[in-house]
Amino acid sequence: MTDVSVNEFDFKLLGRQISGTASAGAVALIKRLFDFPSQANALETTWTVQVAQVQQAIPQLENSYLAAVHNGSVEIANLENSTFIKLGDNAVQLELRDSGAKLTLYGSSEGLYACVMVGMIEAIRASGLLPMHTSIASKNGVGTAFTGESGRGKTTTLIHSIKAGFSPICEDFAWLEPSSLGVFGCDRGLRCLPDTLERVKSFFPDVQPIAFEVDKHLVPFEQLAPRAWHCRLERLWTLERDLTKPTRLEVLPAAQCVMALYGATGVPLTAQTRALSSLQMASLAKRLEIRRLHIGSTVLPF
Amino acid sequence: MTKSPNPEIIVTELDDELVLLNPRTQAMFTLNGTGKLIWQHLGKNTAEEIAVKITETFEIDLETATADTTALLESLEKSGLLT
Repeated sequence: MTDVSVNEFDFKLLGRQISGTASAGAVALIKRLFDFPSQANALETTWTVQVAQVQQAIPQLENSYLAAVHNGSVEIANLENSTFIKLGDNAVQLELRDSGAKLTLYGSSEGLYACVMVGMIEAIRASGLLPMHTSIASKNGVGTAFTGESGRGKTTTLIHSIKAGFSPICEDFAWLEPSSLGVFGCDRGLRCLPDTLERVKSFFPDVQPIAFEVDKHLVPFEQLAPRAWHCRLERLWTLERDLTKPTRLEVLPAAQCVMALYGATGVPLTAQTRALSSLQMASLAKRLEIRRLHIGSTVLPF
Repeated sequence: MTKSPNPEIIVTELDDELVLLNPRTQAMFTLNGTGKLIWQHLGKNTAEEIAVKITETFEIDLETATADTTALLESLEKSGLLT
Protein backbone atom coordinates (compact mmCIF):
# COMPACT_ATOMS: atom_id res chain seq x y z
CA MET A 1 0.00 0.00 0.00
CA THR A 2 1.50 3.34 -1.04
CA ASP A 3 0.49 6.67 0.41
CA VAL A 4 1.82 9.55 -1.72
CA SER A 5 -0.28 12.51 -0.59
CA VAL A 6 1.62 15.09 1.44
CA ASN A 7 0.08 16.87 4.39
CA GLU A 8 1.27 19.65 6.66
CA PHE A 9 1.17 19.51 10.44
CA ASP A 10 2.24 21.75 13.28
CA PHE A 11 1.77 21.20 17.00
CA LYS A 12 3.63 21.27 20.30
CA LEU A 13 4.55 18.45 22.64
CA LEU A 14 5.89 19.51 26.04
CA GLY A 15 7.07 22.77 24.50
CA ARG A 16 8.78 21.09 21.55
CA GLN A 17 7.55 22.55 18.24
CA ILE A 18 6.86 19.67 15.86
CA SER A 19 6.03 20.57 12.29
CA GLY A 20 6.53 19.72 8.66
CA THR A 21 5.11 17.69 5.83
CA ALA A 22 4.60 13.96 5.44
CA SER A 23 2.28 11.43 3.88
CA ALA A 24 -1.22 11.31 5.32
CA GLY A 25 -0.48 8.01 7.04
CA ALA A 26 2.74 9.29 8.60
CA VAL A 27 1.03 12.48 9.79
CA ALA A 28 -1.77 10.43 11.34
CA LEU A 29 0.80 8.29 13.16
CA ILE A 30 2.79 11.31 14.37
CA LYS A 31 -0.34 13.00 15.66
CA ARG A 32 -1.63 9.83 17.32
CA LEU A 33 1.65 9.21 19.16
CA PHE A 34 2.84 12.73 19.92
CA ASP A 35 -0.02 15.25 19.69
CA PHE A 36 -1.61 15.59 23.12
CA PRO A 37 -3.04 19.12 23.40
CA SER A 38 -3.14 18.95 27.19
CA GLN A 39 0.64 18.31 27.15
CA ALA A 40 1.48 20.90 24.49
CA ASN A 41 2.88 23.59 26.76
CA ALA A 42 3.53 21.65 29.96
CA LEU A 43 7.27 22.40 29.61
CA GLU A 44 9.20 25.30 28.10
CA THR A 45 11.91 24.89 25.48
CA THR A 46 12.96 26.26 22.11
CA TRP A 47 13.63 22.74 20.73
CA THR A 48 12.08 22.09 17.33
CA VAL A 49 11.51 18.95 15.30
CA GLN A 50 11.12 19.55 11.57
CA VAL A 51 9.84 16.80 9.32
CA ALA A 52 10.05 16.73 5.52
CA GLN A 53 9.07 14.06 3.03
CA VAL A 54 11.33 13.70 -0.01
CA GLN A 55 10.95 11.73 -3.23
CA GLN A 56 14.53 10.46 -3.43
CA ALA A 57 16.31 7.15 -3.24
CA ILE A 58 17.74 6.15 0.13
CA PRO A 59 21.55 6.55 0.14
CA GLN A 60 23.67 3.42 0.39
CA LEU A 61 24.09 2.57 4.08
CA GLU A 62 27.19 0.87 5.48
CA ASN A 63 27.98 -0.67 8.84
CA SER A 64 24.32 -0.79 9.77
CA TYR A 65 22.76 -3.01 12.42
CA LEU A 66 19.30 -4.24 13.34
CA ALA A 67 17.62 -2.67 16.35
CA ALA A 68 14.58 -4.24 17.98
CA VAL A 69 11.55 -1.98 18.05
CA HIS A 70 7.91 -2.49 18.85
CA ASN A 71 6.61 -5.36 16.66
CA GLY A 72 9.87 -6.00 14.80
CA SER A 73 13.17 -4.40 13.99
CA VAL A 74 14.64 -1.57 11.93
CA GLU A 75 18.06 -1.08 10.39
CA ILE A 76 20.20 1.63 12.00
CA ALA A 77 23.18 3.31 10.32
CA ASN A 78 25.13 6.13 11.93
CA LEU A 79 26.76 8.38 9.34
CA GLU A 80 29.06 11.28 10.10
CA ASN A 81 26.33 13.86 10.70
CA SER A 82 23.13 11.90 10.69
CA THR A 83 21.47 8.63 11.59
CA PHE A 84 19.38 6.55 9.20
CA ILE A 85 16.52 4.38 10.40
CA LYS A 86 15.52 2.04 7.57
CA LEU A 87 12.89 -0.59 6.96
CA GLY A 88 12.54 -2.05 3.48
CA ASP A 89 12.20 0.74 0.94
CA ASN A 90 11.51 3.32 3.65
CA ALA A 91 13.83 5.33 5.85
CA VAL A 92 14.06 8.32 8.12
CA GLN A 93 17.21 10.41 8.26
CA LEU A 94 17.72 12.11 11.62
CA GLU A 95 19.98 15.14 11.85
CA LEU A 96 20.56 16.71 15.25
CA ARG A 97 21.42 20.37 15.65
CA ASP A 98 21.99 22.67 18.63
CA SER A 99 18.36 23.69 18.95
CA GLY A 100 16.45 20.94 17.25
CA ALA A 101 16.22 17.95 14.99
CA LYS A 102 15.44 17.44 11.33
CA LEU A 103 13.75 14.30 10.07
CA THR A 104 13.80 13.51 6.37
CA LEU A 105 11.36 10.82 5.29
CA TYR A 106 12.13 8.48 2.38
CA GLY A 107 9.47 6.18 0.98
CA SER A 108 5.77 6.10 1.67
CA SER A 109 4.66 2.54 2.29
CA GLU A 110 3.68 1.15 5.68
CA GLY A 111 7.29 0.33 6.63
CA LEU A 112 7.84 4.07 6.95
CA TYR A 113 5.71 4.24 10.07
CA ALA A 114 8.10 2.26 12.28
CA CYS A 115 10.97 4.45 11.04
CA VAL A 116 9.01 7.62 11.80
CA MET A 117 8.14 6.44 15.29
CA VAL A 118 11.76 5.58 16.11
CA GLY A 119 13.05 8.79 14.52
CA MET A 120 10.56 11.00 16.33
CA ILE A 121 11.34 9.41 19.69
CA GLU A 122 15.05 9.90 19.09
CA ALA A 123 14.52 13.52 17.98
CA ILE A 124 12.66 14.28 21.20
CA ARG A 125 15.10 12.25 23.32
CA ALA A 126 17.85 14.53 21.99
CA SER A 127 16.03 17.49 23.54
CA GLY A 128 16.69 16.05 27.00
CA LEU A 129 13.53 14.04 27.66
CA LEU A 130 13.51 10.29 28.14
CA PRO A 131 10.86 8.05 26.57
CA MET A 132 9.31 5.79 29.17
CA HIS A 133 7.83 2.56 27.81
CA THR A 134 5.94 1.88 31.03
CA SER A 135 2.61 2.17 32.68
CA ILE A 136 2.51 4.82 35.40
CA ALA A 137 0.12 5.51 38.25
CA SER A 138 0.15 8.45 40.64
CA LYS A 139 -1.17 9.24 44.07
CA ASN A 140 -0.87 12.65 45.72
CA GLY A 141 1.26 13.78 42.78
CA VAL A 142 3.85 11.01 43.26
CA GLY A 143 4.26 8.51 40.45
CA THR A 144 5.22 4.85 40.24
CA ALA A 145 6.24 3.41 36.88
CA PHE A 146 5.71 -0.26 36.09
CA THR A 147 8.11 -1.65 33.53
CA GLY A 148 9.02 -5.03 32.13
CA GLU A 149 8.96 -7.05 28.97
CA SER A 150 5.68 -7.57 27.18
CA GLY A 151 3.37 -9.87 29.12
CA ARG A 152 4.91 -9.21 32.53
CA GLY A 153 1.85 -7.33 33.79
CA LYS A 154 2.28 -3.60 33.18
CA THR A 155 -1.39 -3.12 32.33
CA THR A 156 -2.68 -5.48 35.01
CA THR A 157 -0.57 -3.80 37.68
CA LEU A 158 -1.86 -0.42 36.52
CA ILE A 159 -5.44 -1.70 36.81
CA HIS A 160 -4.78 -2.91 40.36
CA SER A 161 -3.24 0.44 41.29
CA ILE A 162 -6.24 2.34 39.91
CA LYS A 163 -8.56 0.10 41.91
CA ALA A 164 -6.43 0.95 44.97
CA GLY A 165 -7.03 4.66 44.46
CA PHE A 166 -4.19 5.72 42.14
CA SER A 167 -4.75 7.88 39.07
CA PRO A 168 -3.56 6.61 35.68
CA ILE A 169 -0.82 8.65 33.98
CA CYS A 170 -0.24 6.23 31.09
CA GLU A 171 -0.62 2.60 30.14
CA ASP A 172 2.26 2.34 27.68
CA PHE A 173 4.15 5.56 27.05
CA ALA A 174 5.24 8.75 28.80
CA TRP A 175 8.02 11.33 28.65
CA LEU A 176 10.28 11.91 31.63
CA GLU A 177 12.11 15.16 32.29
CA PRO A 178 15.10 13.81 34.26
CA SER A 179 16.06 17.14 35.86
CA SER A 180 12.68 17.61 37.57
CA LEU A 181 11.52 13.97 37.55
CA GLY A 182 8.34 15.28 35.95
CA VAL A 183 6.64 12.55 33.95
CA PHE A 184 4.01 13.24 31.30
CA GLY A 185 1.60 10.60 30.06
CA CYS A 186 0.97 10.12 26.35
CA ASP A 187 -1.87 7.62 26.30
CA ARG A 188 -5.59 8.07 25.95
CA GLY A 189 -6.57 4.98 27.89
CA LEU A 190 -6.09 1.26 28.22
CA ARG A 191 -5.66 -0.54 24.90
CA CYS A 192 -7.09 -3.96 25.51
CA LEU A 193 -7.06 -7.28 23.73
CA PRO A 194 -10.10 -9.43 24.63
CA ASP A 195 -8.50 -11.11 27.67
CA THR A 196 -7.34 -7.78 29.12
CA LEU A 197 -10.75 -6.27 28.48
CA GLU A 198 -12.38 -9.03 30.48
CA ARG A 199 -9.95 -8.35 33.34
CA VAL A 200 -10.77 -4.62 33.21
CA LYS A 201 -14.50 -5.39 33.26
CA SER A 202 -14.06 -7.62 36.30
CA PHE A 203 -12.71 -4.61 38.20
CA PHE A 204 -14.78 -1.89 36.49
CA PRO A 205 -18.07 -3.43 35.27
CA ASP A 206 -19.47 -0.13 33.99
CA VAL A 207 -16.79 0.69 31.42
CA GLN A 208 -17.84 1.34 27.84
CA PRO A 209 -14.89 0.32 25.68
CA ILE A 210 -14.39 1.80 22.23
CA ALA A 211 -13.45 -0.62 19.45
CA PHE A 212 -10.52 0.73 17.43
CA GLU A 213 -8.95 -2.26 15.66
CA VAL A 214 -9.89 -5.86 15.07
CA ASP A 215 -10.02 -7.43 18.54
CA LYS A 216 -8.76 -4.25 20.25
CA HIS A 217 -10.66 -1.86 22.49
CA LEU A 218 -9.78 1.42 24.14
CA VAL A 219 -11.00 2.07 27.65
CA PRO A 220 -10.52 5.81 28.23
CA PHE A 221 -8.80 6.51 31.53
CA GLU A 222 -11.64 8.85 32.51
CA GLN A 223 -13.96 5.81 32.74
CA LEU A 224 -11.72 4.28 35.42
CA ALA A 225 -10.58 7.14 37.65
CA PRO A 226 -9.86 10.87 37.59
CA ARG A 227 -7.23 11.32 34.89
CA ALA A 228 -3.80 12.72 35.86
CA TRP A 229 -1.60 13.87 32.96
CA HIS A 230 1.61 14.33 34.89
CA CYS A 231 3.25 13.78 38.24
CA ARG A 232 6.65 13.57 39.88
CA LEU A 233 8.17 10.15 39.27
CA GLU A 234 9.68 8.70 42.43
CA ARG A 235 9.51 4.93 41.93
CA LEU A 236 10.23 2.47 39.14
CA TRP A 237 9.19 -1.14 39.58
CA THR A 238 10.42 -3.69 37.08
CA LEU A 239 7.95 -6.57 36.93
CA GLU A 240 8.59 -10.31 37.20
CA ARG A 241 6.00 -13.04 37.62
CA ASP A 242 6.31 -16.05 39.92
CA LEU A 243 2.94 -17.19 41.18
CA THR A 244 4.51 -19.93 43.32
CA LYS A 245 5.81 -17.37 45.84
CA PRO A 246 4.34 -14.44 47.74
CA THR A 247 4.42 -11.03 46.08
CA ARG A 248 7.44 -9.02 47.18
CA LEU A 249 9.54 -5.98 46.35
CA GLU A 250 13.27 -6.54 45.94
CA VAL A 251 15.87 -3.80 46.35
CA LEU A 252 18.24 -3.78 43.36
CA PRO A 253 21.98 -3.07 43.24
CA ALA A 254 22.91 0.15 41.43
CA ALA A 255 24.01 -1.59 38.23
CA GLN A 256 20.70 -3.44 37.97
CA CYS A 257 18.90 -0.14 38.53
CA VAL A 258 20.67 1.22 35.45
CA MET A 259 19.69 -1.89 33.51
CA ALA A 260 16.07 -1.44 34.59
CA LEU A 261 16.20 2.19 33.45
CA TYR A 262 17.53 1.25 30.03
CA GLY A 263 14.83 -1.42 29.84
CA ALA A 264 12.23 1.28 30.43
CA THR A 265 13.70 4.02 28.25
CA GLY A 266 15.20 2.02 25.38
CA VAL A 267 18.60 2.19 23.76
CA PRO A 268 19.57 5.58 22.32
CA LEU A 269 20.70 5.54 18.69
CA THR A 270 22.96 8.54 18.14
CA ALA A 271 26.29 9.58 19.65
CA GLN A 272 24.64 12.68 21.14
CA THR A 273 21.75 10.84 22.78
CA ARG A 274 24.04 8.10 24.05
CA ALA A 275 26.27 10.63 25.81
CA LEU A 276 23.20 12.35 27.25
CA SER A 277 21.62 9.07 28.37
CA SER A 278 24.65 7.83 30.27
CA LEU A 279 24.60 10.94 32.46
CA GLN A 280 20.82 10.76 32.89
CA MET A 281 20.91 7.08 33.88
CA ALA A 282 23.64 7.55 36.50
CA SER A 283 21.64 10.36 38.06
CA LEU A 284 18.27 8.60 37.91
CA ALA A 285 19.70 5.40 39.41
CA LYS A 286 20.45 7.44 42.54
CA ARG A 287 17.31 9.57 42.64
CA LEU A 288 14.59 7.03 41.85
CA GLU A 289 13.51 4.23 44.15
CA ILE A 290 14.01 1.31 41.78
CA ARG A 291 12.75 -2.12 42.80
CA ARG A 292 11.92 -5.45 41.22
CA LEU A 293 8.30 -6.35 41.91
CA HIS A 294 7.92 -10.13 42.00
CA ILE A 295 4.24 -10.59 41.26
CA GLY A 296 3.29 -13.68 43.18
CA SER A 297 0.44 -15.32 44.97
CA THR A 298 -0.38 -12.48 47.39
CA VAL A 299 -1.82 -9.00 46.87
CA LEU A 300 0.15 -6.21 45.24
CA PRO A 301 1.75 -3.68 47.61
CA PHE A 302 -0.56 -0.70 47.13
CA MET B 1 49.50 -3.28 21.80
CA THR B 2 46.72 -1.13 23.31
CA LYS B 3 43.05 -1.93 23.01
CA SER B 4 40.45 0.84 22.90
CA PRO B 5 36.84 0.98 24.05
CA ASN B 6 34.37 0.58 21.21
CA PRO B 7 33.13 4.19 20.77
CA GLU B 8 29.56 2.97 20.27
CA ILE B 9 29.37 1.52 23.79
CA ILE B 10 27.17 3.46 26.18
CA VAL B 11 29.01 3.79 29.47
CA THR B 12 27.16 4.64 32.68
CA GLU B 13 29.48 5.48 35.54
CA LEU B 14 28.32 4.61 39.04
CA ASP B 15 30.23 5.17 42.28
CA ASP B 16 32.43 2.07 42.17
CA GLU B 17 31.36 0.29 38.99
CA LEU B 18 30.51 0.77 35.35
CA VAL B 19 27.55 -0.40 33.31
CA LEU B 20 28.33 -0.96 29.63
CA LEU B 21 25.56 -1.21 27.05
CA ASN B 22 26.27 -2.43 23.53
CA PRO B 23 23.60 -0.73 21.41
CA ARG B 24 24.01 -3.24 18.56
CA THR B 25 23.21 -6.26 20.69
CA GLN B 26 21.42 -4.46 23.55
CA ALA B 27 23.57 -6.59 25.89
CA MET B 28 24.61 -5.00 29.19
CA PHE B 29 27.73 -5.68 31.22
CA THR B 30 28.77 -4.61 34.69
CA LEU B 31 32.39 -3.93 35.66
CA ASN B 32 33.45 -3.81 39.32
CA GLY B 33 36.06 -1.43 40.69
CA THR B 34 38.97 -3.30 39.12
CA GLY B 35 37.18 -3.64 35.81
CA LYS B 36 36.31 0.06 35.90
CA LEU B 37 39.97 0.95 36.37
CA ILE B 38 40.95 -1.32 33.47
CA TRP B 39 38.28 0.21 31.21
CA GLN B 40 39.36 3.74 32.08
CA HIS B 41 42.95 3.02 31.00
CA LEU B 42 42.05 1.32 27.74
CA GLY B 43 43.40 3.12 24.69
CA LYS B 44 46.08 4.80 26.75
CA ASN B 45 47.99 1.90 28.30
CA THR B 46 49.00 -1.64 27.39
CA ALA B 47 47.63 -4.59 29.33
CA GLU B 48 50.92 -4.83 31.19
CA GLU B 49 50.82 -1.15 32.15
CA ILE B 50 47.21 -1.47 33.29
CA ALA B 51 48.13 -4.46 35.47
CA VAL B 52 50.80 -2.34 37.20
CA LYS B 53 48.22 0.39 37.84
CA ILE B 54 45.94 -2.19 39.42
CA THR B 55 48.68 -3.22 41.85
CA GLU B 56 49.10 0.46 42.76
CA THR B 57 45.40 0.87 43.52
CA PHE B 58 44.33 -2.47 44.95
CA GLU B 59 46.11 -4.88 47.28
CA ILE B 60 46.93 -7.40 44.61
CA ASP B 61 50.17 -8.86 43.25
CA LEU B 62 51.34 -8.25 39.69
CA GLU B 63 50.87 -11.83 38.56
CA THR B 64 47.22 -11.87 39.63
CA ALA B 65 46.62 -8.37 38.24
CA THR B 66 48.10 -9.39 34.88
CA ALA B 67 45.95 -12.52 34.74
CA ASP B 68 42.81 -10.55 35.70
CA THR B 69 43.51 -7.85 33.12
CA THR B 70 44.17 -10.34 30.34
CA ALA B 71 41.01 -12.29 31.16
CA LEU B 72 38.85 -9.19 31.25
CA LEU B 73 40.26 -7.83 27.99
CA GLU B 74 39.52 -11.15 26.27
CA SER B 75 36.00 -11.12 27.63
CA LEU B 76 35.41 -7.49 26.59
CA GLU B 77 36.75 -8.20 23.12
CA LYS B 78 34.54 -11.25 22.67
CA SER B 79 31.53 -9.15 23.64
CA GLY B 80 32.29 -6.49 21.03
CA LEU B 81 33.17 -3.86 23.59
CA LEU B 82 36.67 -3.16 22.24
CA THR B 83 38.10 -2.07 18.91
